[in-house]
Amino acid sequence: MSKPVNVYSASEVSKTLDEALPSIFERLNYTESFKLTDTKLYIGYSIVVVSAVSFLLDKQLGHRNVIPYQQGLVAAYIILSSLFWYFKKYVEKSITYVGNEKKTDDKISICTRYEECEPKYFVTFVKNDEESSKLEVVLETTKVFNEAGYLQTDLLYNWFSEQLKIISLKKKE
Amino acid sequence: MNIRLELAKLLNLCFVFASAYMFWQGLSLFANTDSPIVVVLSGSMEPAFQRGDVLFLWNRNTQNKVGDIVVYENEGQDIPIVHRVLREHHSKSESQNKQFLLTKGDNNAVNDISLYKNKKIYLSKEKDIVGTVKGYLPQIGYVTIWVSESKYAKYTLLAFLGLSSLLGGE
Repeated sequence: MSKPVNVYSASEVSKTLDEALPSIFERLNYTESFKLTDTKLYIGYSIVVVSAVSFLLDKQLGHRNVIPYQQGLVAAYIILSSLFWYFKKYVEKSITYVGNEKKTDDKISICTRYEECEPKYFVTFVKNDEESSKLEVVLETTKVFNEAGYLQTDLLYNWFSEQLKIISLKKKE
Repeated sequence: MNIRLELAKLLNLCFVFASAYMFWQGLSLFANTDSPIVVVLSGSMEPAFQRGDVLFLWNRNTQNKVGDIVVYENEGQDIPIVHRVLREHHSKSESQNKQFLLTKGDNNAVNDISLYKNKKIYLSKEKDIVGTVKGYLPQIGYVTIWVSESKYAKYTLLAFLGLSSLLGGE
């Protein structure tokens, strides 16, 4: 069993739920897709590499000798940082989990958020990137945590499987 | 262990250093100097500047005027010296654009010839000058002097940073 959390902290509760998503969806026959995280890491680490090269050039050869290279590197840094910011704000948004159903290969994206001082976890499901299948639901976090602050994974699992049923019904309609 | 989560955490830490360094590098390129911000280390320019004042430098000017406050570094030494231009000589033709400067600290009795290396009696604007002072913030840089001169201060600061990163969960 996981560690107990402070149930009065909305951010801590939401973080615990976010971290529980992969194992819950594993049980629901989904494989997690890391495409978004990996792209973000690639862009992020290329920013770090650019800065490191700039730092080493400066230290090894002296600022005055490498000005044209530094101009290029600073430009690359600005471009990559803007790309990183754009990716985080418009592509990744608040997506916390992306997975594919093992049999049908249906894709599910889940965005989560919380509001301060509210025991609620706002979840948005999107199936196969279709706007029509979008489902916004609110989970009362008091229902899945016990008094001591332990996450009741089975209850959370049941809640998510119910939501997935609702989505598949919604699609049939 | 979730490797992606750990990499993302490490990335956040790297970003702190990378963004600070690239900001510095960008500022260096903008002002055309290898150190666009310096801290005054001695009292030789009192009462204009006190120890610990932060100075902002600009090095896109081709010539300095007598009375300008400049920062220079002696060859092979990394200590920036902030002094005022006392005398200047420049080439007649503008194409050559060479300038030689003699400097002196406002609070010093004599000029800087004894400070220059290799028996030089002047500074070259092009080679020795780091930048001309264009702005300053009083006293803010004192913490860097404090940390570099007292080992207790260094350990206190390190302990404070360590504790704040341990305790400041979010």
